[in-house]
Amino acid sequence: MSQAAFNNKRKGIIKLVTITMVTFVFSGCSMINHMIYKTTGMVLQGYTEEHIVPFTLEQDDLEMGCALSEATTPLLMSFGRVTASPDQIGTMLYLSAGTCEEQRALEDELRYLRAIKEQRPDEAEDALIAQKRHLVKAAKRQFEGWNRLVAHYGEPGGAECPELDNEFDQFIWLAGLLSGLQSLNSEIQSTSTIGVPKNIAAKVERAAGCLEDDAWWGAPMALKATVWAMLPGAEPQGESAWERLEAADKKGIKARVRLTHVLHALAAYTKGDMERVRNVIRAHAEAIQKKPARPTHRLIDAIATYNIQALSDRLWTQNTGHRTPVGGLGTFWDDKKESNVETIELDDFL
Amino acid sequence: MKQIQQRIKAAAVVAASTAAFASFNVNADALDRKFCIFDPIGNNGPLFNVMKSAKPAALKWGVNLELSAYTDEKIASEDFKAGQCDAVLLTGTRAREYNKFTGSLEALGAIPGDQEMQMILQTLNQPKASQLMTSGNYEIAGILPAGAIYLFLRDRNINSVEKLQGKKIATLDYDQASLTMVRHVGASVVGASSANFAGKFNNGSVDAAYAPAVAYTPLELYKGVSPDGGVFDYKLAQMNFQIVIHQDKFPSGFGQKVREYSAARYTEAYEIVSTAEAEIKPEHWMRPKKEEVEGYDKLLREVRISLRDEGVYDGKALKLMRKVRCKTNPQNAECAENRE
Repeated sequence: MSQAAFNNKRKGIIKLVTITMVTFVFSGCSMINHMIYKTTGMVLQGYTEEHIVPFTLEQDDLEMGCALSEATTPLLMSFGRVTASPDQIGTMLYLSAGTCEEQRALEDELRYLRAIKEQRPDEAEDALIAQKRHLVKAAKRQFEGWNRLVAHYGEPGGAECPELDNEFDQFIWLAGLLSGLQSLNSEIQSTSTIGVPKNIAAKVERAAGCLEDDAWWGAPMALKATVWAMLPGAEPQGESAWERLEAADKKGIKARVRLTHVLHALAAYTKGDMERVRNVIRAHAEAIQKKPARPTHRLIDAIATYNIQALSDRLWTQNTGHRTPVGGLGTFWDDKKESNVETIELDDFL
Repeated sequence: MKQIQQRIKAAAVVAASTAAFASFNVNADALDRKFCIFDPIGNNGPLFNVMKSAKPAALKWGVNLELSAYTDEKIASEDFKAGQCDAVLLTGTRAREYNKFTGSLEALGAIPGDQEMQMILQTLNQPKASQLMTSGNYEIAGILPAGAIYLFLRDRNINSVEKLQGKKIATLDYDQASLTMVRHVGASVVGASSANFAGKFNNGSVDAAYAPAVAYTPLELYKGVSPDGGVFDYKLAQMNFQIVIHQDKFPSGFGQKVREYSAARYTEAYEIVSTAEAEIKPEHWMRPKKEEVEGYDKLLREVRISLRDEGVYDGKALKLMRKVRCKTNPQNAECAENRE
């Protein structure tokens, strides 16, 4: 290469670098936004969807899943400012973050129940206020989960189902419906008004029909039947919510993702059928003892067990002042102790 | 003999002061009492949860309330009457059986707005009003507003009383006043309950239904209202919920305390009602003209007076409500007539 050619090339490079630098200086923020942030956002979203979600679902540590949602939701959702809003992941994150607040609410509820039992009204009042504060927060998070579902797929419960092509879509749909129903429930329990539309239950009932029941452990049908039990006049003629829920439980047990028990117990509790509530708790305890959870969905099964245990803890606390004993899920304080072990006649020793 | 009498007297005084002391001493064992609550949604419903919030307060007044939810109001009322519940939460109309005065607060067209409703509730919360709250051993220990009842129509062309003739209206058949009203306008009664009226309205087996705004969204009444119907903006009545107690099962003064506690909940109740009314889309409201409203007022007044004469409504309650109407609207012709 001649000196002249080399100089020309050098000038060209300098020119290019200068142009790039000038461009960068004058378009600094938007460039960073478009190039770096956007790419990071897409990478994080993709990684979350492809690896974090499946990995988390395989874990059965509910508290860790909770902490993950609470800590990473603002980070992940903030990428909605520079790229498409990650609404699908948002549905799951907000549902999960709502669970953390529900857990805190439960602790205060148990404190309330103990205080009532011990006839300490001030403590009971304080616990009830604390419980309601957590429930308000839970309702807001769960409602946000529902709103993210609406943002991505459109309003559920319309005449047509959205295209739920792959397993991830279907899973998010189920999570969003649960989130919606939970938000309504939390709002009612909190006795506050936070703006959850009261027709969510009716919409969830219809939207659950968009999912294949067998593919989702009987949960879609159980969702429908739970709404029938909760909403006056919702049960179609000739249908029986209890029969449907019992059939759904069988599917859940078979799939080893026993979420239907939670819906079944919720419906029975709503109707005040406490014997049925106990039977569902017993059935769940027996099922998890017999067979471990499906490895790909340990977290869902753990959420189910947590909810069943929460219900059991309420009943135990109301009646004994303490929660379900360790290893005692599926037993109740008034169970008749029957032992078939033979005893020795003591008369000769006395 | 005199000595025995004196001893009995002394024992009675001790027993009475012990009872009074037990009633208001938190450390003493509280009385276990069963409170049956009508909530269409059951244990997870809004009414049940609001009542649950009253447990700590009741405990301070010496009563440990055991709450039980009923999705069927009729059964709740029967269990209360049979003594299986010491207290019960019912709609005002259902409570008429236990107190004709408070049970007449839901009288047709008697309370035109929230302002009047609040005035009535505050009036009845005064200790002086406790006589009106008591009827035999039944006491009304609190009234909670549930908002106005509106007429929901599948066809908005039915915009006058004349056009209601021959139309089917979902009617709560246990309520004599509703039956009278529906027949009075020449419409036909289709028996319904709080569990099935929405279904009948939405699927077109009735032309009209009446309900408070709080039922509109959860029961999806907009499905029956859309596309050609509407919500008639005239307050047919003011719905309320009432706590009825067997007075002798509770410490003295308990009813008044619960009434005051209920009064502190009005803001929450009205917040729920106004949220529900705001959910009805503006295009669905049908607004009657001023002279039409006056016509309805007159029509309902005649119905009220005839129901009073038949023994359904309580005269004193109608008089109180007229007084309240004339306080907010003294120019009304009825204020000079004194027919109620």
